Amino acid sequence: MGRLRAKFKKIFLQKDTDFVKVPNNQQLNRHPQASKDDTTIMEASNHEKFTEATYEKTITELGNGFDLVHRSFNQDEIQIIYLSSLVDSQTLEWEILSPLRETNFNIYDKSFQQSLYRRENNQEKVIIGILNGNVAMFIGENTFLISVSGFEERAIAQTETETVINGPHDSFNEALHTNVSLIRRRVRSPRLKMIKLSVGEISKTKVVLIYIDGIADMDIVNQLKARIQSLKVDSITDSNVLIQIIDDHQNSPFPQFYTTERPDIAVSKLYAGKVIGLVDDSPNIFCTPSTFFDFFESPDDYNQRWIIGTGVRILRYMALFITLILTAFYVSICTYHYEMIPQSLLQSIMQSRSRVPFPPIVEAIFLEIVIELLREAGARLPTKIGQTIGIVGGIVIGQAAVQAGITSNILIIVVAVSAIASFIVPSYIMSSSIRIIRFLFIVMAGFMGNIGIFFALGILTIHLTGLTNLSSPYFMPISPTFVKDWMESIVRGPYYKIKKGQPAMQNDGEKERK
Amino acid sequence: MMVKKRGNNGDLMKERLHPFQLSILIYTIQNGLVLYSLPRYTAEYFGTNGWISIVFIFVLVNINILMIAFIYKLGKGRSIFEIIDKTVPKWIMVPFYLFIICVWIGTASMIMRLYIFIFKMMFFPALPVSLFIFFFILLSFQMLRGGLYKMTKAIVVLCAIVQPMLFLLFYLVPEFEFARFTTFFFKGGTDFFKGALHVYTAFLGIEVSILFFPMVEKKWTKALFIGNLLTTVGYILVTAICYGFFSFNQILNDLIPVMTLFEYTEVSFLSRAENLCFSVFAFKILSIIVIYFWGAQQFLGNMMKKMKPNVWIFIILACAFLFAMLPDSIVDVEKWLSWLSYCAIGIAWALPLFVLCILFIQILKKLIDRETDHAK
Repeated sequence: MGRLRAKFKKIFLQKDTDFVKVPNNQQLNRHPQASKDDTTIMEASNHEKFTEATYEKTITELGNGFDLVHRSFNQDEIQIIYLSSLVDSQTLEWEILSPLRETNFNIYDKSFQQSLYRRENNQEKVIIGILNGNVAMFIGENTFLISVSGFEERAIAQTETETVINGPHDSFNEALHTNVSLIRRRVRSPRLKMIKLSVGEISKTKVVLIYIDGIADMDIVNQLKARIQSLKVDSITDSNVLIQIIDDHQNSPFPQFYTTERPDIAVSKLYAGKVIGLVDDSPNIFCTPSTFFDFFESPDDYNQRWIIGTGVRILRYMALFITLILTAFYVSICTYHYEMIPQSLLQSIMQSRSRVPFPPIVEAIFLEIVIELLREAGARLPTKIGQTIGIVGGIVIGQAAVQAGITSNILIIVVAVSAIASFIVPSYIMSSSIRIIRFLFIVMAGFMGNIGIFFALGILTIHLTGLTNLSSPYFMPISPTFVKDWMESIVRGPYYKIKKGQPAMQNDGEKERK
Repeated sequence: MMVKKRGNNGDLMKERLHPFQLSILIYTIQNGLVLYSLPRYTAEYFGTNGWISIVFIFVLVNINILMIAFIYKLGKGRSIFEIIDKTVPKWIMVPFYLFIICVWIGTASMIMRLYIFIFKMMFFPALPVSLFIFFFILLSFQMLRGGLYKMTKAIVVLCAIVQPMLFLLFYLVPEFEFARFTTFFFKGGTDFFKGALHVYTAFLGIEVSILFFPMVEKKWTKALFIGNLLTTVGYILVTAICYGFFSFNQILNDLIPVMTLFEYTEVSFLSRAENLCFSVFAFKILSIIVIYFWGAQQFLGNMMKKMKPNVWIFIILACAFLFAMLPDSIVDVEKWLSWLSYCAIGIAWALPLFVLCILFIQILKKLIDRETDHAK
């Protein structure tokens, strides 16, 4: 009984999920004694905590892996351990193995001054170093980590989900190094700052936060950093997983962090004063603070003339409206409000509906589910079969359904138009959310007609205006209203209207406070 | 600007409302359901060209708002609960607070019920009433959960969705004739006083703004006037067009003239636009009832400070649900609504007057204290 009450309270009485409370002293210090003021105690305890790195200990801990290589030189005086799947074999050969084979070992002190070589005595850090692609060299009492990592990676290719007609075509890939280089070469300024973090107890995934000093809001940077550092998970597989965990509102169907695979979008967000985050092993980057209208922007708008860009944006918002409401409107008119159909259209609708044995809501939901099945199957099919099934599903089934009398002609057009309209939204995650919300509208229309549609619209609006992204309102600049920002986000204003150095988030007074 | 630390729940409204948002809020929360019957009321009680009476009532409402603005200035932005609690002990005020709460919840429920009645009568004879009431309550719950700031943000967007309704009036201009106005002013009316009260109920809702004090920026009072002005302009526009479209006797015989007005608008791809208009009007009704519930919640929260604010939402909504299920016919609802509206008008005038008196007493006391201190 107590658990039921607690659940009830959690759903109805809490405004949003309780986030993990960030402790006040949020250093990445693993040693609990480090919070004391006395530094000598800290050093002493550090010494007690870590162990000296030795060859034997390292071998036992890493075990006998398939890619573990250990070599010894000069009659077991020098031992090296590395993971062959993580090191670049050419650099390894050039930098380490050849010199070790050839040179006189008495002058090896000088070579250890090189920047690649790093002295490391902590056993834990040596293991981490080997797992990061370094070579561990054990000489006598000392241990050195040499950085020769060379991971295999996918070539920079065109993105498949965010294509642009006129603009750069490169996209991020899974290697953090490459992604950072794609950003660096577009922002050649010393003001570009990066913060390195690590998430995941077992995976130790690297996360890099990037922002431009002077334009970005440091509050947001610090808040984001604090949130990511307070995570306690075993691993994160993709940046989408990370942003879902650090979200403000985890139960909302709408995405709150904007993600993209394109460097040009990432860099434009940087210039607008936002903070972007890159996650290792993920081609998607996330950016914050984002609003609902960010998901309806595409680089095409900016690369074209502003009038056309504005026209396309307005078309997108109309498409949003159409995809949510069109099918629901058809259902509500055919079920409850026959008087709203204009007389000229009445005859064709009557003819097509007369052959259908089901009420409009049933046929609408049936067709919508078929379209969703087609879409999901199309995403999972191997490419060779994809084309055939598309034609079969789209044309043949539709035509056959009408002739068999299961659905009406007009409904097929309505559902097809609304499905096409849902794909106009540039961001795939947002368009998936909208497709699911569409079902709510159809069901409400089936129960209560036009007012059902407006109730659903009301629920959606109230929900959207209440969302926040890292404490910044989601539905800005419509509400709270900042008419000056409409030039940037709702329509695409001409470039002479945008002044230099004007950050997008110039509204200081509008931080969400509860 | 400190971004708040998470985990700080509760009703601490550190966010301030901007005057622009406030004016839209005031515009939306002023009672709009009367708008649909307003031409008939003015014609019945005032006679020919009754729409001019709206201007006079507008002046009266402005006096009311002036009182509220005066309280804000004199009290230096303190909430009225602070002002009252300083002078009057709580147990005296409790019956008055309860009365206000009942009147406000009652008015909100009755407005909701009247809207549902008209809706059922015109479009959905067979659907159960409880379904509509349930959805209104659900939406109110969703809005009340967020507090005033989130409510305002949602209301701004909802108002933007309702407003295009006014543009449909342009389709009526070809049929509009000034001759239908007749050249007589206020002839053939019955009761001016009752009519004034009825028209005043069209401007109700603004008295809840007396509770906004701790949550607004400075210099916000102009938002009240702007919001009221927008409402009046909207009313005058619709009523005037109605008077020019129908003849005087037609208006007298029509229960809901404005609905009939929209029935005549013809758009090429849509026939009966009044269906859509009335459905989208539900958003305005929602804003009105939500602000009354919020006001009642504030009063309740002030009376018993130890309970959490969220619990009040449940109690208020449950009361509203039960109350809205009570009446059986439109005549019943209209009777209840008129009585409750008269009480609400009484509250709209009595509460600011009362707070003003207390403020004067406090200022006088302070002056006397200062004099005696000087003397010492």
